[in-house]
Amino acid sequence: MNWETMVLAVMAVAMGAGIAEYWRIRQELGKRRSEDARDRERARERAERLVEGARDKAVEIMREAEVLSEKQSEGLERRLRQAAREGLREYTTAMERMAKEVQKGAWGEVRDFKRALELGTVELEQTVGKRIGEEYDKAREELEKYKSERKAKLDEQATDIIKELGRKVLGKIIPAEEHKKLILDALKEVEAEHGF
Amino acid sequence: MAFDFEKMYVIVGTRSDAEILLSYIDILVDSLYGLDSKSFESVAGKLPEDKIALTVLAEIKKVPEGERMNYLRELKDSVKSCETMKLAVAVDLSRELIDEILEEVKKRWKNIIVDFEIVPEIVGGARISWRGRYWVKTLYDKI
Repeated sequence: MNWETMVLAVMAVAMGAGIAEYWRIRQELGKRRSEDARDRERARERAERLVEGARDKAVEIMREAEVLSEKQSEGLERRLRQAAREGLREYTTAMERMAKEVQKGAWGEVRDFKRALELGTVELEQTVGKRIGEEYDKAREELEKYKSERKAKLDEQATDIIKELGRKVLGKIIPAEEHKKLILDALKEVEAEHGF
Repeated sequence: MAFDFEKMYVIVGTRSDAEILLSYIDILVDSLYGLDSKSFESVAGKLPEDKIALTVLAEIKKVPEGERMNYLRELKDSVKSCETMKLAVAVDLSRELIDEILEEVKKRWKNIIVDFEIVPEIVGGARISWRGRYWVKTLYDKI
């Protein structure tokens, strides 16, 4: 066996070994793939079961919650109604008590006010009467004063009118010679007073 | 040369007389400077023939021609320097009555001019204002 044949034989052995290994690995890979698919399927199924369980649980919880809520609402409402009744009763009682107190106080105040009003009215009547009397006296005095002043003024005006009338009439009826005489008399008086 | 204005004082008694005389004097003074058409003789002939004009012309003709200007000037100054007595009376007096009053005034005071004023309100008598004094001698104040 020559050297070349020997190389070819080794190479053939190696190739055969390689092909065998390749086949083995391929088988292994296929096997692993099928196992992975199986695992995924199992996991999916498990997950579905978990989801369904959770959903059932949630529904159950919600039902329980609804029931509880209804119960609590009823209880709360009942308590509220009871508290309201009790509060209203207390409130009504307090209001009645307050109303009685207010009424009592108010009637007292009204009685006092009425009494004070009666007393004040009497005093006011007296004061007003006095004041009216004073004002009346004052007004009468002013009226009398005004009447006196007007009378005096009218008398004065009447005198002035009579004088003015007399002057006008007299001025027209005095003759020229009389005017001359009056003027000369005036000049004589001036001469006498002036001294030369 | 001293001039005698006595006759002029006699005819000039009221303020209106004095104003008329002063206007005549101005006309005559102007005429002394005028031409033939406006000569003294020509102007004098055209003056009104009232008592004042006739008297002033009569008096001036007694004065020499060369002195006429001085005469008129001095007459003007003399009239202006007369005292004025304000006499308020009640009615409009006639000229005769005014002259009679002036005669009485001039008997008492010389070189005086009376300024008549009519104030009907005084009724009668007179209100006199003279030398800074005031006399009220009226019927108005006696009524």
